[in-house]
Amino acid sequence: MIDTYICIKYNYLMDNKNNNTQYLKGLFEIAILMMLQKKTMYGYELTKELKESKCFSISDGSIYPILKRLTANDYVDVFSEEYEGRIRKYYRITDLGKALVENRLKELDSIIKYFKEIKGMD
Amino acid sequence: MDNHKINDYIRQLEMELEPLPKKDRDNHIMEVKDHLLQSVTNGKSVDEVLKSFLLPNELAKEIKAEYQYLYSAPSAENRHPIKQKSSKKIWIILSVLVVVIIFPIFLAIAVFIANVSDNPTDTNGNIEYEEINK
Repeated sequence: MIDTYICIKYNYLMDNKNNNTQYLKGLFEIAILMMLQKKTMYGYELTKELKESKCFSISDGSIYPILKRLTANDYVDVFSEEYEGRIRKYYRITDLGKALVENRLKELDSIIKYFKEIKGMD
Repeated sequence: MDNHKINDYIRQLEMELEPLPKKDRDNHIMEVKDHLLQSVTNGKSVDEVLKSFLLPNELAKEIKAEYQYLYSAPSAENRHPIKQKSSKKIWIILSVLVVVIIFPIFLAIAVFIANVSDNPTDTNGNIEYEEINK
Protein backbone atom coordinates (compact mmCIF):
# COMPACT_ATOMS: atom_id res chain seq x y z
CA MET A 1 0.00 0.00 0.00
CA ILE A 2 1.12 3.48 -0.78
CA ASP A 3 2.19 5.62 2.10
CA THR A 4 -0.92 7.09 3.74
CA TYR A 5 1.06 10.25 4.35
CA ILE A 6 0.91 11.36 0.75
CA CYS A 7 -2.74 10.27 0.42
CA ILE A 8 -3.74 12.66 3.18
CA LYS A 9 -1.91 15.48 1.46
CA TYR A 10 -3.44 14.55 -1.86
CA ASN A 11 -6.95 14.75 -0.40
CA TYR A 12 -6.16 18.14 1.08
CA LEU A 13 -4.83 19.51 -2.14
CA MET A 14 -7.07 18.09 -4.82
CA ASP A 15 -10.69 19.12 -4.93
CA ASN A 16 -11.12 18.58 -8.63
CA LYS A 17 -9.05 15.94 -10.35
CA ASN A 18 -9.79 17.35 -13.79
CA ASN A 19 -8.18 20.65 -12.94
CA ASN A 20 -4.49 21.26 -13.29
CA THR A 21 -3.33 18.09 -14.99
CA GLN A 22 0.34 18.93 -14.63
CA TYR A 23 -0.06 19.41 -10.88
CA LEU A 24 -1.88 16.09 -10.60
CA LYS A 25 0.86 14.43 -12.60
CA GLY A 26 3.36 15.91 -10.15
CA LEU A 27 1.57 14.19 -7.27
CA PHE A 28 1.46 10.93 -9.18
CA GLU A 29 5.18 11.26 -9.76
CA ILE A 30 5.84 11.57 -6.04
CA ALA A 31 3.53 8.64 -5.25
CA ILE A 32 5.30 6.47 -7.84
CA LEU A 33 8.73 7.48 -6.58
CA MET A 34 7.71 6.66 -3.01
CA MET A 35 6.59 3.22 -4.10
CA LEU A 36 9.87 2.72 -5.94
CA GLN A 37 11.73 3.68 -2.78
CA LYS A 38 10.39 0.49 -1.26
CA LYS A 39 11.25 -1.79 -4.17
CA THR A 40 11.95 -2.05 -7.88
CA MET A 41 8.66 -2.40 -9.77
CA TYR A 42 7.19 -2.65 -13.29
CA GLY A 43 4.29 -0.74 -14.87
CA TYR A 44 1.48 -3.17 -14.11
CA GLU A 45 2.57 -3.51 -10.47
CA LEU A 46 2.74 0.27 -10.01
CA THR A 47 -0.71 0.79 -11.54
CA LYS A 48 -2.20 -1.96 -9.35
CA GLU A 49 -0.74 -0.45 -6.20
CA LEU A 50 -1.86 3.08 -7.12
CA LYS A 51 -5.40 1.79 -7.63
CA GLU A 52 -5.33 0.07 -4.25
CA SER A 53 -4.35 3.35 -2.59
CA LYS A 54 -7.93 4.66 -3.14
CA CYS A 55 -6.75 8.23 -3.44
CA PHE A 56 -4.87 7.87 -6.71
CA SER A 57 -7.25 6.52 -9.31
CA ILE A 58 -5.49 5.97 -12.59
CA SER A 59 -6.60 4.42 -15.86
CA ASP A 60 -4.60 1.45 -17.06
CA GLY A 61 -1.90 2.71 -19.37
CA SER A 62 -1.82 6.27 -18.00
CA ILE A 63 1.19 5.47 -15.89
CA TYR A 64 3.50 5.06 -18.89
CA PRO A 65 3.71 8.73 -19.93
CA ILE A 66 4.47 9.58 -16.27
CA LEU A 67 7.17 6.91 -16.12
CA LYS A 68 8.61 8.28 -19.34
CA ARG A 69 8.91 11.71 -17.74
CA LEU A 70 10.49 10.32 -14.58
CA THR A 71 13.01 8.39 -16.66
CA ALA A 72 13.78 11.37 -18.90
CA ASN A 73 14.48 13.50 -15.83
CA ASP A 74 16.75 10.82 -14.31
CA TYR A 75 14.52 10.31 -11.27
CA VAL A 76 14.26 6.62 -12.13
CA ASP A 77 16.29 4.29 -14.26
CA VAL A 78 15.04 1.36 -16.27
CA PHE A 79 16.27 -2.13 -16.95
CA SER A 80 14.68 -4.97 -18.86
CA GLU A 81 14.38 -8.63 -18.01
CA GLU A 82 12.78 -11.53 -19.79
CA TYR A 83 9.62 -12.79 -18.16
CA GLU A 84 7.64 -15.72 -19.58
CA GLY A 85 8.95 -15.16 -23.09
CA ARG A 86 8.41 -11.41 -23.14
CA ILE A 87 10.54 -8.45 -22.16
CA ARG A 88 9.53 -6.64 -18.98
CA LYS A 89 10.74 -3.17 -18.04
CA TYR A 90 11.52 -2.54 -14.39
CA TYR A 91 11.86 0.86 -12.76
CA ARG A 92 14.29 1.75 -9.99
CA ILE A 93 14.54 5.06 -8.12
CA THR A 94 17.79 7.03 -8.45
CA ASP A 95 19.48 9.24 -5.84
CA LEU A 96 18.06 12.24 -7.71
CA GLY A 97 14.58 10.72 -7.37
CA LYS A 98 15.06 10.17 -3.64
CA ALA A 99 16.16 13.78 -3.22
CA LEU A 100 13.10 14.96 -5.17
CA VAL A 101 10.76 12.99 -2.88
CA GLU A 102 12.38 14.48 0.18
CA ASN A 103 12.11 18.04 -1.17
CA ARG A 104 8.54 17.66 -2.40
CA LEU A 105 7.37 16.22 0.93
CA LYS A 106 8.95 19.15 2.74
CA GLU A 107 7.19 21.55 0.38
CA LEU A 108 3.86 19.77 0.82
CA ASP A 109 4.33 19.84 4.58
CA SER A 110 4.78 23.60 4.52
CA ILE A 111 1.72 24.03 2.29
CA ILE A 112 -0.48 21.85 4.51
CA LYS A 113 0.80 23.63 7.60
CA TYR A 114 -0.05 26.98 6.03
CA PHE A 115 -3.52 25.79 4.97
CA LYS A 116 -4.17 24.54 8.48
CA GLU A 117 -3.09 27.89 9.90
CA ILE A 118 -5.49 29.76 7.60
CA LYS A 119 -8.27 27.37 8.52
CA GLY A 120 -7.46 27.77 12.21
CA MET A 121 -6.79 24.09 12.70
CA ASP A 122 -3.45 24.58 14.47
CA MET B 1 -6.33 -16.38 -24.07
CA ASP B 2 -7.95 -14.19 -26.73
CA ASN B 3 -4.77 -12.68 -28.08
CA HIS B 4 -6.56 -11.51 -31.19
CA LYS B 5 -8.18 -8.55 -29.40
CA ILE B 6 -4.96 -7.69 -27.60
CA ASN B 7 -3.05 -7.76 -30.90
CA ASP B 8 -5.69 -5.48 -32.45
CA TYR B 9 -5.27 -3.04 -29.58
CA ILE B 10 -1.49 -3.13 -29.95
CA ARG B 11 -1.70 -2.62 -33.73
CA GLN B 12 -3.93 0.43 -33.28
CA LEU B 13 -1.66 1.86 -30.60
CA GLU B 14 1.34 1.30 -32.85
CA MET B 15 -0.35 3.23 -35.65
CA GLU B 16 -1.25 6.07 -33.30
CA LEU B 17 2.33 6.26 -32.07
CA GLU B 18 3.70 6.46 -35.61
CA PRO B 19 5.16 9.99 -35.11
CA LEU B 20 7.47 8.75 -32.33
CA PRO B 21 10.97 7.44 -33.04
CA LYS B 22 10.85 3.69 -33.67
CA LYS B 23 12.90 2.83 -30.57
CA ASP B 24 10.54 4.78 -28.28
CA ARG B 25 7.48 3.40 -30.03
CA ASP B 26 8.71 -0.18 -29.67
CA ASN B 27 9.47 0.41 -25.99
CA HIS B 28 5.95 1.65 -25.27
CA ILE B 29 4.36 -1.15 -27.28
CA MET B 30 6.42 -3.78 -25.46
CA GLU B 31 5.48 -2.34 -22.07
CA VAL B 32 1.76 -1.99 -22.81
CA LYS B 33 1.65 -5.52 -24.20
CA ASP B 34 3.28 -6.84 -21.04
CA HIS B 35 0.73 -4.94 -18.95
CA LEU B 36 -2.23 -6.34 -20.93
CA LEU B 37 -0.94 -9.90 -20.82
CA GLN B 38 -0.12 -9.69 -17.11
CA SER B 39 -3.66 -8.44 -16.35
CA VAL B 40 -5.10 -11.41 -18.22
CA THR B 41 -2.72 -13.80 -16.48
CA ASN B 42 -3.93 -12.43 -13.14
CA GLY B 43 -7.46 -13.54 -13.88
CA LYS B 44 -9.24 -10.78 -15.78
CA SER B 45 -10.95 -11.46 -19.09
CA VAL B 46 -9.48 -9.81 -22.19
CA ASP B 47 -12.62 -7.67 -22.52
CA GLU B 48 -12.35 -6.50 -18.91
CA VAL B 49 -8.69 -5.69 -19.37
CA LEU B 50 -9.24 -3.71 -22.54
CA LYS B 51 -12.18 -1.87 -20.97
CA SER B 52 -10.07 -0.69 -18.05
CA PHE B 53 -7.32 0.41 -20.41
CA LEU B 54 -7.33 3.79 -22.14
CA LEU B 55 -8.38 3.56 -25.78
CA PRO B 56 -5.37 3.31 -28.13
CA ASN B 57 -5.88 6.86 -29.44
CA GLU B 58 -6.28 8.24 -25.88
CA LEU B 59 -3.17 6.50 -24.61
CA ALA B 60 -1.18 7.53 -27.68
CA LYS B 61 -2.36 11.11 -27.18
CA GLU B 62 -1.07 11.09 -23.57
CA ILE B 63 2.23 9.53 -24.58
CA LYS B 64 2.74 11.96 -27.45
CA ALA B 65 1.83 14.89 -25.19
CA GLU B 66 4.53 13.75 -22.80
CA TYR B 67 7.11 13.73 -25.58
CA GLN B 68 5.97 17.17 -26.67
CA TYR B 69 6.36 18.39 -23.07
CA LEU B 70 9.78 16.78 -22.72
CA TYR B 71 11.10 18.24 -25.95
CA SER B 72 9.80 21.72 -25.17
CA ALA B 73 10.92 21.85 -21.53
CA PRO B 74 14.54 21.61 -20.43
CA SER B 75 14.95 18.17 -18.91
CA ALA B 76 17.94 15.97 -18.26
CA GLU B 77 17.34 13.73 -21.28
CA ASN B 78 16.31 16.58 -23.51
CA ARG B 79 18.97 19.06 -22.58
CA HIS B 80 22.11 17.04 -23.01
CA PRO B 81 21.58 15.50 -26.48
CA ILE B 82 20.67 18.89 -27.89
CA LYS B 83 23.79 20.42 -26.35
CA GLN B 84 25.91 17.63 -27.77
CA LYS B 85 24.30 18.00 -31.17
CA SER B 86 24.82 21.78 -31.25
CA SER B 87 28.45 21.51 -30.13
CA LYS B 88 28.99 18.87 -32.82
CA LYS B 89 27.49 21.24 -35.38
CA ILE B 90 29.79 24.04 -34.29
CA TRP B 91 32.84 21.81 -34.75
CA ILE B 92 31.68 20.74 -38.21
CA ILE B 93 31.11 24.37 -39.24
CA LEU B 94 34.53 25.39 -37.87
CA SER B 95 36.25 22.53 -39.72
CA VAL B 96 34.54 23.49 -42.98
CA LEU B 97 35.53 27.14 -42.44
CA VAL B 98 39.15 26.17 -41.87
CA VAL B 99 39.32 23.90 -44.91
CA VAL B 100 37.33 26.02 -47.36
CA ILE B 101 38.14 29.61 -46.38
CA ILE B 102 40.89 30.08 -43.83
CA PHE B 103 43.35 27.46 -45.11
CA PRO B 104 43.29 28.72 -48.78
CA ILE B 105 43.76 32.31 -47.52
CA PHE B 106 46.81 31.30 -45.50
CA LEU B 107 48.08 29.29 -48.44
CA ALA B 108 47.63 32.27 -50.77
CA ILE B 109 49.44 34.57 -48.31
CA ALA B 110 52.29 32.07 -47.96
CA VAL B 111 52.65 31.75 -51.76
CA PHE B 112 52.55 35.54 -52.12
CA ILE B 113 55.22 36.07 -49.47
CA ALA B 114 57.34 33.34 -51.03
CA ASN B 115 57.10 35.02 -54.47
CA VAL B 116 57.91 38.47 -53.11
CA SER B 117 60.95 37.30 -51.22
CA ASP B 118 62.05 34.99 -53.99
CA ASN B 119 65.34 36.74 -54.89
CA PRO B 120 67.63 35.24 -57.52
CA THR B 121 70.53 33.25 -56.14
CA ASP B 122 73.79 32.20 -57.66
CA THR B 123 74.95 28.66 -58.02
CA ASN B 124 76.35 28.69 -54.45
CA GLY B 125 73.01 29.72 -53.02
CA ASN B 126 74.18 33.31 -52.29
CA ILE B 127 71.73 36.06 -52.99
CA GLU B 128 72.59 38.05 -56.04
CA TYR B 129 71.97 41.74 -55.64
CA GLU B 130 71.14 43.79 -58.67
CA GLU B 131 73.51 46.56 -59.25
CA ILE B 132 71.81 49.84 -59.30
CA ASN B 133 73.07 51.85 -62.12
CA LYS B 134 72.62 55.43 -61.48
